[in-house]
Amino acid sequence: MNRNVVLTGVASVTVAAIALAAGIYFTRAPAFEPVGLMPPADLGGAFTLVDSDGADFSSSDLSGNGAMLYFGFTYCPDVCPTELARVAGAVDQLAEEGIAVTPVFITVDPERDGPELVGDYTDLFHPDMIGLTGSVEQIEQVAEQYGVYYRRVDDGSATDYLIDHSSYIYLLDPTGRLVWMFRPTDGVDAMVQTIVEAAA
Amino acid sequence: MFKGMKYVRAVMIIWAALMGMAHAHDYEVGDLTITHPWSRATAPAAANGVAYMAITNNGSSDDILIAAEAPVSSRTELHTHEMTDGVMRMRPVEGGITIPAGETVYLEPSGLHVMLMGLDDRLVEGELFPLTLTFQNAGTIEVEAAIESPGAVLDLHSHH
Repeated sequence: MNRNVVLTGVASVTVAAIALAAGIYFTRAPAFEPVGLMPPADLGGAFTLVDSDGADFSSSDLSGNGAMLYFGFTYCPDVCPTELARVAGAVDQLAEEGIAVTPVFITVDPERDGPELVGDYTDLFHPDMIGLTGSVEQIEQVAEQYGVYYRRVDDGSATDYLIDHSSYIYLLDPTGRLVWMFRPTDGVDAMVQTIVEAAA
Repeated sequence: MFKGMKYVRAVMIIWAALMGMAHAHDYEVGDLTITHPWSRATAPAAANGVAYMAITNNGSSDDILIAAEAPVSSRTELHTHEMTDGVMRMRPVEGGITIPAGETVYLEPSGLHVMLMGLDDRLVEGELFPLTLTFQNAGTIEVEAAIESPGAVLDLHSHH
């Protein structure tokens, strides 16, 4: 047998083995990319709203746990349920990692979303989800604190309207500080991994 | 031989059930195939619900979904959704939803959907409700929408 052929054969096998090893290495340890946004420094802060029993609820009642806040409205059947199910899924996965995060829904439609409606709505998504409403002024204030845009879109009738709203998930640390924001395009697994890495 | 076929069919049915596709259902009207109409469970006093599906146009001319009606709600609208700078905007689709010839249009979460406005009753997971769809060319068909969990996001793309 020609020596060159043998050498070429050995070389190809070696190259193939290295490629295979590299392939296994990279598929086993994919580079981790955190998802979401660093919130502007002036966003966030303490709030007092009204819970699903009609009692005052202060953001300090969340302390000790992290929280994931989502602002929406119960008349919203499409985007809000999708996002709240994502929050619920993330909270459950984080609990398995030993990270306690309370899921919180805050309505931007306080005129229609009374305590009972808000409570029934959050019960759909997670048993620990806290549903919050408040006076028009209270909601305006918390929305401003968190940079939440919302605008009522009237179609002529007084009670039948939709609301354009920003759709971020806000992550508070156990001291109540806003530390991160997730977008609707961020996957649940990626959100969880981002939080787990940050907490490590 | 026939016994064998029966066995295969039984296995297929069990397999489909195990895969959670027991409710997967298709409808044909004219050149259109409507795949797995579905909805989401709502809270007891919820005012609004939603319906999704995939619509395939097997024909050579475009069609338009011009209306949807459901006895569970007092009114329905065809909606679309836009997100700009993190803001979600839901709007009625002017002139209906075009189903281009040879293509599939997906009504799905955070996209096109049938908005059920003024629900008489809560929508309960596991139940079905009738939905009447009217197309410009293919005409009218009644389908059954399967009610999934409140925040369900089904991916119908894999059916095609």
